Amino acid sequence: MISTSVNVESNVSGKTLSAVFDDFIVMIDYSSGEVTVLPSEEAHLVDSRPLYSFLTGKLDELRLYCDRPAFRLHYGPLSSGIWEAGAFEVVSYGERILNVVPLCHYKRLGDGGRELIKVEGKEPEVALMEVERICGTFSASYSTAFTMAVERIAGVEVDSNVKAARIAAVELERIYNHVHAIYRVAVAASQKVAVSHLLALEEDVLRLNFRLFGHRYAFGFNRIGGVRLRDVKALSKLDAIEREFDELVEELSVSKIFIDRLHNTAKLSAEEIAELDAIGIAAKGSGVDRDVRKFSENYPGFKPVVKTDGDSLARILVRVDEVKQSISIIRECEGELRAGGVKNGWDGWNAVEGEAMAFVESPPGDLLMYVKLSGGRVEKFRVRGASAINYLAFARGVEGNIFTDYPFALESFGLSFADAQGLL
Amino acid sequence: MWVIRGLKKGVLTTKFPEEVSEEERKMLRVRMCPDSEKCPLEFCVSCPLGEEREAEVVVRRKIPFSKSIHVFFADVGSCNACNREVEMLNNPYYDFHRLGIFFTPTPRHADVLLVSGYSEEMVKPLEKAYSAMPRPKLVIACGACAVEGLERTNLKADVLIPGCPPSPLLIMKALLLARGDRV
Ligand code: SF4
Repeated sequence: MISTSVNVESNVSGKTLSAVFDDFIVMIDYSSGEVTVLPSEEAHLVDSRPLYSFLTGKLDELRLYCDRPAFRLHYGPLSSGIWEAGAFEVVSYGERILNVVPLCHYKRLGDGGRELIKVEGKEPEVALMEVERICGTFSASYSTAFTMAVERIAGVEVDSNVKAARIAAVELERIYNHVHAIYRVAVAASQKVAVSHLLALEEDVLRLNFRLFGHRYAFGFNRIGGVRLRDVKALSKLDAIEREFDELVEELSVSKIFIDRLHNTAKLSAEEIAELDAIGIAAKGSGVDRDVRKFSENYPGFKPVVKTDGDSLARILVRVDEVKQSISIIRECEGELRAGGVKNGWDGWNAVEGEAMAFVESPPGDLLMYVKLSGGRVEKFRVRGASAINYLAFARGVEGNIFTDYPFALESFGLSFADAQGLL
Repeated sequence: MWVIRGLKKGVLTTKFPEEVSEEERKMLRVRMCPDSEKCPLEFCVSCPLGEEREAEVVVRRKIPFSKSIHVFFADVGSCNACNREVEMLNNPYYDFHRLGIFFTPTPRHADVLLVSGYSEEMVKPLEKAYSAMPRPKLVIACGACAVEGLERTNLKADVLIPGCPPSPLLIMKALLLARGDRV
């Protein structure tokens, strides 16, 4: 987790495009953690990148118009196999997939989209409730990013037990989402028995969350300047969860059907990761260690899990190792956790003005949030979820594969349309 | 060996609706908002600060027969947490198939349209899915967003499930009530 103040610089070479908002562009250097903010007038420095077209809704630049007879399918929304409100435009001449363009606008925030969620104009404590409902399955990451940004503006330094609680929440979120991604791949491979065991394991983690945070998805646990924990002893369940996970992975790794479907599916090279500005699991599966926990003082000595094959199997193996890594991270900070409210909120809003950005490594990759406070309210709020970037990586990865590979490709990225809300 | 693992684990499945354990009872409760004016969603009732009480599933209309039901799930702009809880019904802890409830991948075979979330962009696809369903079609709003969001569409929710998100057990209870079961 890193948070940074906003600065302006124009050197973008070797930097990864991280977000394109209406009035500024964010670049990040994943070797040093340095963040660069460009005004939108400097868009010409990055507008040839595919991610720029994707984030700005210039989808025509990503579409393939071929001269051979080919079908253009609209897959979703409300289609079987897509559990969320989202869609894909797929071009194929029968079996092989030639081109995919993800359509993420169905869940966009704001007027004409998900109008019930409104962050701007609200007091930070109230805005926080909205923020954690942008993407519920990554809500601990969202609420942590928001609280970090606001605390930075306000100059509030939180205690180590607050930091520990947030780390625990974000890592638990990673565990159940990684288990979920493995479950989805197992569904695609018709591994019915494994599917049941994996779902039961995910339920165990969600129940642990409920005991620890009072909510299965940790809504309401984060406060500005603090956290609220319930039954800290619930974490003793972690041993059983780890044992169960290890055993399930062992069983799955000897299943030839399961492994074969993942091997060589949706392959992405390290060069493609650089070209697409891909992050998180997509990058780590292709040997590129893009993980913002490297730069966080809360994760001393953190080393990202990296696999080099770049296929769906590599991405699933990153997840397997990350679940174990997350469990050991939680164990390290477990002693710091205290039940009850730790510093309950903060009331000096009216005096606080300023802007800040925060990054948190959410389950599929890093999440970026920008907050501007003025007059005790959120004046401006911008967010870029990891899925907003990695849907493009998925689209490139699945090209050239056949239709039956589609779910194995998609689920290995573990994305959510609710997390891609920043797109136009 | 999967078989041995399964046997070792024993039966995880809830005895709901016949019996409800202490842990499950909590999942059927909601927590009222201590300051509803500030809350983003009227039917959220999942506030960790709030006072606990029994969840009230509102049933305005039921399916006029008591048989197995087929559910078409439509996410129309959720935050994905409601979706996850619906997906969790497949889990051996709940195993909703044993109660004669099944998901169907097409609205043409569905008795029930289970809706989560709300986005204006999804209103048209939702109405199209509804019109493809055979009668008698029931609409269930799953979670605070859908309860509030459906009000903005031409569809009328027949069953309202409060919560943000509602627990899988509460969704299961609502599906049984919609079928006319006594829960
Ligand atoms: S009701 Fe709550 S959990 Fe369900 S979609 Fe809306 S915000 Fe998400």
